[in-house]
Amino acid sequence: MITKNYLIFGGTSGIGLFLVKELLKSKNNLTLVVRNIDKAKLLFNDEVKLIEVDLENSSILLETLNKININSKFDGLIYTAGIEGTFPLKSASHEKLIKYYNINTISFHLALSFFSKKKISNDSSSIVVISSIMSTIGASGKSVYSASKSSINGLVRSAALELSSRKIRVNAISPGLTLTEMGNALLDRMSNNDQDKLLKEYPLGFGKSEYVSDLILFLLSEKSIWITGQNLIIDGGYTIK
Amino acid sequence: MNTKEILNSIFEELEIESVKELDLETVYKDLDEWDSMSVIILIGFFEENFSTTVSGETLNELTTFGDLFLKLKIDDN
Repeated sequence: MITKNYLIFGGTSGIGLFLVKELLKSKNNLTLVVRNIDKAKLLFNDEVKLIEVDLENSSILLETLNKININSKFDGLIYTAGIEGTFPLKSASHEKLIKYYNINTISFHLALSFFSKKKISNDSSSIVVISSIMSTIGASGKSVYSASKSSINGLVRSAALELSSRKIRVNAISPGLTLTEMGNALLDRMSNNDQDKLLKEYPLGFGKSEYVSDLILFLLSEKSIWITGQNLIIDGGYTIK
Repeated sequence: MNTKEILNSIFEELEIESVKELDLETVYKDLDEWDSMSVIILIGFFEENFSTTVSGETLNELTTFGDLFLKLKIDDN
């Protein structure tokens, strides 16, 4: 079994947590960038290397990443960290915009900047970022979230072209409503009746972390060697209508 | 904030024009402005101002602001 080195943003909840557990089963070496290092220690003990950064404060991210002691170069970057919210346009304050863009977009951009260096990543690496179906469709109350996720898709396309000379693949995954803490919080804001209506909009039902995690694993593997610069939608058919 | 001030803040947040003011007996779901975004706004309002989470289903089950304040234990004391 070939073990690989992965740099993962997030990983203590939802899709990221499921992914980390899967990668650990295959004895891969993982470096996790997390907001709450105590929670991560409880989850993983010494199984992973941990770096504590609050991505809301993206200005210190590069400085922190540059301090990582690289024993062997990374084979993949997975960005599962993110923030989701629903509020009207009139509530889109400067403070909220900065927060959403820092966590969803700017920190990923900086992570890409770090990872793109030859001394940091191996050729033929794979980069996967979690975008959202809200990056391709609109919804009332989702202006800030949608905009921050749409930015990721553009970044992925340009980065894929730039890194293609090193055969590094860069792809985004856009899940529909997935039953994670984040997804459940979104459902809690709805009445039972509205939840039922939304469920009917998903021909294959709501998603589970493992469905998305499996797609990430595929994109990390050599089976996806000819896929780059894409935004892969995984939503149980929500957006095909 | 007392209940009157809270109702005034909600009046502003929901940009109510269909009635002159809100009171504890107002049936919020009967307001012309009431829609799915109103639910989101109210949930956000209580989270920001009272650090309390009210679910969409709770808003669906209750009818008046008085019921809602009672549920959230908001009173003038």
